[in-house]
Amino acid sequence: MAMMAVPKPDAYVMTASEWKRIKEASADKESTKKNEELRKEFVKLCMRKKKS
Amino acid sequence: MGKHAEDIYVRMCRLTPKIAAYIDDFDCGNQNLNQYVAADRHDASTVGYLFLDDKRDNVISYASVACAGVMIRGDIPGETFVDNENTTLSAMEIKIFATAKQYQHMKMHETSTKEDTLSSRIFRQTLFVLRNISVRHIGSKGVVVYSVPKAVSFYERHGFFRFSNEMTRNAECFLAGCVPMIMPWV
Repeated sequence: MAMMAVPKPDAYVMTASEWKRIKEASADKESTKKNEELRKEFVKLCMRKKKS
Repeated sequence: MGKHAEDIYVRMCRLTPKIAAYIDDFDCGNQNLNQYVAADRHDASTVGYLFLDDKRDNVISYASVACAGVMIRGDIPGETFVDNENTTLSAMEIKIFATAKQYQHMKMHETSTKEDTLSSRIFRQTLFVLRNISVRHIGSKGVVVYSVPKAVSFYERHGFFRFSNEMTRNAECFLAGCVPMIMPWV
């Protein structure tokens, strides 16, 4: 993906009810667990702390 | 270069003046974003992270992060905010996330799905770093991004949610069709 996130709005604004909905939906989401599993595998396979 | 990412060794470093030259030749295929990346070294409000290909010594991805706030309008039941007033949630913001052309769409393994790419794994690592900062150093409620339209599904796969376009727009920087998204820490 060439262009994924860009700068920048002055401020992010949302309604309280929307924040509540997103928080509840987020708590049920599998992606958090999946993110961590895939990340750990990536660190094991690919990440280096110092230049070789 | 191989077709899969599993043989690539990745080094993550913070962008400092000493290694700023790495981003001089960074090319994600979009000239506007290349300019944002190049200019980011002069932005005191962000911290840039380079993900380097350790063997080839070139940049795979660039992430720029900063503190941010999300203004919440109205009362949230169960939360200790002031009734019917605007409240600001502390958040972290990924200002820029971009991957160099030659590493885009690179699958992690031969058997990986088309979504399981090097870029995706690097993004997950970026989220992990932000989560650590939030747990250990400066607390926040979540992460926000301002996504280009074609990247919305990428962020959704990583736990982000779109929210209504109540964002106040900075005319100078606003890009048509871009979407504010948030991932609450759980």
